[in-house]
Amino acid sequence: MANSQAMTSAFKRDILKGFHNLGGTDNPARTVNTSDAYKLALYLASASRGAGDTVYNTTGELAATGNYAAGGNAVTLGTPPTLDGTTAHVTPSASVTWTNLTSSGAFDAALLYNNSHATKYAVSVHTFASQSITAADFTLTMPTSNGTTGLIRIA
Amino acid sequence: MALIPIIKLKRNGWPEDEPMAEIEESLLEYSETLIDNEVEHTVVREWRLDGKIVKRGAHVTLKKNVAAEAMAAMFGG
Repeated sequence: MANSQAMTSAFKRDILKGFHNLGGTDNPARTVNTSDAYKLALYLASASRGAGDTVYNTTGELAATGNYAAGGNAVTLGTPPTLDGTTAHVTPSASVTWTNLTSSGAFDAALLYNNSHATKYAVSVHTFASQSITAADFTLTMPTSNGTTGLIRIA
Repeated sequence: MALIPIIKLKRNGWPEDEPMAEIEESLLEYSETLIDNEVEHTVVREWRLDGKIVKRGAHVTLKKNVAAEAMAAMFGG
C-alpha cells in the first residue's frame, strides 16, 4: 500500500455541509464565527492515506515516541481563504516543525484535518519523498499562497 | 566547541539502539542532499559518525497542492 496526495472526497462533501471554517471571521452562516483549528499528522510510508480518508485516525501514523505526539502539530492559518481570479485557495501561513524528532520509521505523508470537532474531519493528504528523521528537526513549509500553488484550491 | 544531540539507532547501522547523547559536532561528518522536483523542494541534512547516521533532519517545502475541479450547477437541460 502507499499514501496518495489528494483532497479527500469527504472534504468536498463536508465543505458543502458547513463543517469547516479555514479562516476568517466574516462567516455569517455560523453562530460561532471563528476559524476552526487544524493539525497535520505524519504517516508511515507503509500507510494507505488518500482521497478515501474521512477523518483523522492513528492507523499508520508515526508512533508517539521520539518527540512525536499522536495527532501531530498545529497548523497556523493566518490568511483566510480568498479568491485568485476564479480559484479559491487557502494556505497555512507558517511552516510546521517537529523539533528534535526521532521518527518511529520512514514516513512520506501528512494528513491535514480539522481538530475543532470531536470527529476530526479529514481535509487533504500531502506526500513527499520518504524521510526517516533521527534526533533532528523535520519542517514542512507551505507552498506560495495563490490560486496556482496554494495548498488547498477549488478551481 | 559545539555539542549537538545524536542517537545511535539499529536502523542506521548501529549494533543496538542507544539513548540520545551529545557529541562534539566537529567529530561528525556532515552532508546535505537536495531533492527538487514538481512535488517538493527538500533539503536533507545528515551527520555521520564512523560512516553511520547519528543525526538526520529534513526541511520539506511543498510545491504540489491539492485541488477540487470546478463545480457546475445546472438546472434543466
